[in-house]
Formats: sequence, structure tokens, C-alpha cells
Amino acid sequence: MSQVAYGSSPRRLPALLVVGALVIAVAVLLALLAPMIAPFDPILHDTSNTLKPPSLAHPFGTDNFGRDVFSRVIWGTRIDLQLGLIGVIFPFLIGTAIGLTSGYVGGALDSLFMRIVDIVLAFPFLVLLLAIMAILGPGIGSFYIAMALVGWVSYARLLRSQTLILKNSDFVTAARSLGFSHGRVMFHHILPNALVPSIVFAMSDVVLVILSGAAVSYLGLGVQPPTAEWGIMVAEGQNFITTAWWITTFPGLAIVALAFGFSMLADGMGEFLGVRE
Amino acid sequence: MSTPLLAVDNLAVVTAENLPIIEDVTFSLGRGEVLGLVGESGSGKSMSCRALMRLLPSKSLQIARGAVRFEGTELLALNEPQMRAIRGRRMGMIFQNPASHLDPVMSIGQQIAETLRVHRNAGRRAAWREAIEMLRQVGIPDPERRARDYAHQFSGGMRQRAMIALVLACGPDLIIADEPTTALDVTVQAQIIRLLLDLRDQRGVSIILITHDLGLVAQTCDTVAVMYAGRICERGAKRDILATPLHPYTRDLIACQPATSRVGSLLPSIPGQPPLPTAYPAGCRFNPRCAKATDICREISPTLDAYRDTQVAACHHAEKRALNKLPEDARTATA
Repeated sequence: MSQVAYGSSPRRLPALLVVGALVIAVAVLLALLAPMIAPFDPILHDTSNTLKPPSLAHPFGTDNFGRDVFSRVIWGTRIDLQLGLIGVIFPFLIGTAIGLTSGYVGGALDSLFMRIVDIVLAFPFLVLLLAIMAILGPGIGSFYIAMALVGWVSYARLLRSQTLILKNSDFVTAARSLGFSHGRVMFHHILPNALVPSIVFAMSDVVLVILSGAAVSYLGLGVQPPTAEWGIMVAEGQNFITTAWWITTFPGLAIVALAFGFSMLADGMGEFLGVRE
Repeated sequence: MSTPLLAVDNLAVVTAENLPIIEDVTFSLGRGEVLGLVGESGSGKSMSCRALMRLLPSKSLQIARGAVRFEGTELLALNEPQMRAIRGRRMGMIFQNPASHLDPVMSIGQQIAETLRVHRNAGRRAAWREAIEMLRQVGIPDPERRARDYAHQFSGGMRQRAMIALVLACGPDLIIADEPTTALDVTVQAQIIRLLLDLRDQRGVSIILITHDLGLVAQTCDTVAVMYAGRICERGAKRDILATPLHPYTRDLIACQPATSRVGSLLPSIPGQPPLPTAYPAGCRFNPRCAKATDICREISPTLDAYRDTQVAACHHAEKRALNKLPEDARTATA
């Protein structure tokens, strides 16, 4: 008799997941190896070499201070990846904790949290983000704080809805009948089952956070010049858009590529883990 | 007999609108005894057991009155941490659908080990070893390997075995089995019942078996309680209940068993539907469906009275039947 294999057969990875992961792997490599790959110092001015179009020496050209756009885009990967990841982790943690508690405890606490969520959602996302950053003052730290204060609502809603479904599920009843405490049921049984949609959403949220980071930097509130950050580069290059298109175009394309990578990863992951958005 | 392991007395559960879901539920269970809790869907069998474990499915339901004494301890007077120490450790529950009652993202071994760690403060390794031992005891082949598997990798019968291992891990005195074999095919049903009875014989575990299968009751139970519309309508030793039912509902239930009806004839059924808690009829709750109902049945709610040594029934006409000694022919009752 042939041996019967228990368990599900290994599923094929969706193409989207593979491509997305590759794009992000390249970005991570660029970020880690920036000092080795980048041919020039990203912030060193070279006044004899300003506004040069793309050439072999400067594949992406140079900007109005003579800085190598190629090197700046590579160094910018560091900042923008960091921006996206840290800008997602804090809202994820805060939102998950609040959503889980709110959904499980229910009642007045749930109403309170959900009204706060409604209030935050009533403001346009960027307006609220900019308002908080204007109060806290410019800088990357205040961007993370503002992101955490505004971004948690989506995670809270997502996890709350999952918790509401799961808390009445059979295996939670069974866990309670085994004498497990509410805390144990919440964190050991509901949370691991509720997390998948949040993780998938977090991947696509990275895109939004990177774009917001670039946007606030463009407006002068986020990362400060002369740091090489894609949003700042676009902002600085806009005065020369008609004469030196390369200053804005290449960092812009970098933003698009990274955003594309994360959203493909998110979709692929959703497909792989069986989540529908 | 000494004090029973479990004594449920006049237990009642009501909704927020004060509608009774179950009422006057009274039964007791000795060590090593198997009690069959029988009735149609929605008659309050599961609700009674959820209530005695203090695990009502919704916050709007609450226990209105009654007493649940477990080894002399009044469970309804315990606070939540004290109750948690009893759930899982002293009494456990097995469910109809083991597929959905096992955590899908935790391996079977981990789940069993978790209960051991919670209730016995067992170390990680000791708990894991004991989990494997439990799986072996409930008859799961190659338990070292299967302990790492997840619920979806188990077959139906194996899942129910895993569920039993989970409940058994902390050595409970009472197992509530809520239709444990309904979702399984017939040969597996027999194995699971065999397993439960072996546990009773070897460990002296008491079992409450919730079922609507009277055949199963006949095979396994020592005592039987029949529930209808949230109340117990008849209770007693299995032999008496099955041989000489005093309540017309019990009699009709027995008549509906395929085994007792003639080959080639339509299976008998009890006409009508059980009433909802929002629309309980006046008098005896079974009266609209009862072939023997008289005026008194429509006006006065019968009390549970003792008619034989072990047998109590809630029917105005039970006395007549009890005196006759001979059971009325069950088949004519629904004709």
C-alpha cells in the first residue's frame, strides 16, 4: 500500500507574491549596501557639476547642487523603507491591541473605542497627519508619532471585526469550557486566528505610509534636507521640472516601484493565505 | 447512595426580557454514572449543561434561580477564578462538531499541553510528553507525530478522539458530551462511545450524554432525563423509562425510533413543532401535540412527581399509567 501523506499538499506561491518579494528584497539590499553601491556621496555639493543630464558617470544626472541623483535615490531607499516599516509597526500594534480588547470586552468600552475611531476617520487622513505634525514640529520622529495616532484606527476596526466573529466561535467556547481565562482566550486563541487580514492589510498600508512620508517631506514637515529622501528630492527638483526632468523623475519612479512591490506582496500574501479584501 | 457527584436543582435560565429558556431542571448524577439527556433540538439540553458549567452562550442570558452542587460545592456561588479552576480540571465538555471546536492554528499536542500547563502548572516538556500519552490513550496511532498535526489534518473520528484527550488531560470527574457522535459515521460512532464507556469503567468518570438518539441511550446510559420545551418532563432509570414511559412525549419519542417501527411502514413522527420560548402554551407545554391531552392539560402546568422508585414524570395522567403497570401500546399513540 502506498504511503498516504497527511496534511495539505504544498501550495504553489502566487506569482504576485514572488514578484513583490523580489522587488522588496532588491530595495532592502540597496538600503543595506548603499555605501558600497552608491558611486558618490549623496549630500556632497559639486558646484562645477550642476544640473547635468543623465550620462555614464551620472546615470540619473545631477541636481542643482551638483549631487548625483543616482546615489541619492539609493541612499533614499534606506530612509523610505524605514519610514514605511516603522510607520506601520506602531499603528499595527496599537490598533491590534485596541481592536482585540474592544471586540472581546464589548459593551461601553467597545462603544467608546469605536466612537474615537469614527472621530479620527471623520478627518481626511493627510489633514490630520499634517495637523499633528505641525503641532509636534517637523522631523522624522514626529512623523512616526503622528502616523501612530492616525493610522491605528484601520487596524483597530479590522481586528475588532475579526474578534467579534471569533469570540462566538466554537473553539473559543471550547477553550472557555477548558477553564481558560479571558486573557488566555484573547491572546492565545483569538489573536493568532484574527491576525492574517491585519498582516495583509499592513503590507498594503506600507505603501500608503511611504507615500505619506514622501508627501510630508515634500511639504517640509518630515525628513529634513539635505538628507536624501525621495519626497524631498521630488520637492527640491520641482523648480527645475522643465529644464532638468531627471531630478524629480527618478525618485518619483523609486517611490512607485517600492509601492508597487509592497502592494504586490500584499495581494500575493492575501491570495496565499486565503484572505479577500 | 452517598452524596451524588453532581446535583442540579431547579435550575432556570432566563433572557434579558425574563423569558424562561429552561426551567425547573433537576437531576443528579453519581460517580461513574452515565446520564442521558434526551429531547428535540431546542428543548434545552445543551443550555442546561452550559448553565451548569456557567458558560451561557450570550450575555443576555442569565441563571435566574436554582442550585448546582458539584461534590458538595455550590457552583453558582463561586466567583469566576474559582469556577475556572473547576472547568477543564474537574469537568469538561465534548462537542458535536470537533472540527470547529479545536483551535485551527494550534497543533493538537499544543492544545492538550496548554490545558495541562494551565491547570497543573506542568512544565513545557512534561506537558508535551503527557499530551502525547493522552493521545495514545484515546487510541490515536503514532501519537508522537500526530501531536504536531493540526485539526484539519485529522479525520472526523480522530478529531473527536483528540477532543476527548483534550478534555481528559486534567483527569475530570465529569464529562459532558454534547451529541458527541452526531457528526460521525456509524462505525466511528461506535468506537467513540466505546472509548467513553471505557473511560467510565477505568477512571470512574461520570458522563452526561446529550443526544436525541434513544438507541444510543439504551446502549450506554444508567439514567435518562427527557427534556421538552425547557423543562424535564420525565426522568428515571433507563430501563423504566424505555420500558414503561409515563409521559406521552417520552412514549412518542420511543415510538419514533426506526428500530421500533414496522418494516415497510412510514416512520411515525410527532405532529407539530416544539414551541418557542416566546410562545409557550398555557398548562402542560406538550399539550398541543399530545394525543392524550384533556382540559386540565391546557390549564394547569403539571409538576414533576414520583410514580415509581426511580421514575418521575410531569403529566396529569401519569398516575393512571403507572397504576396500570402495563405501558400503553406506543404505536397506537401517534396513529
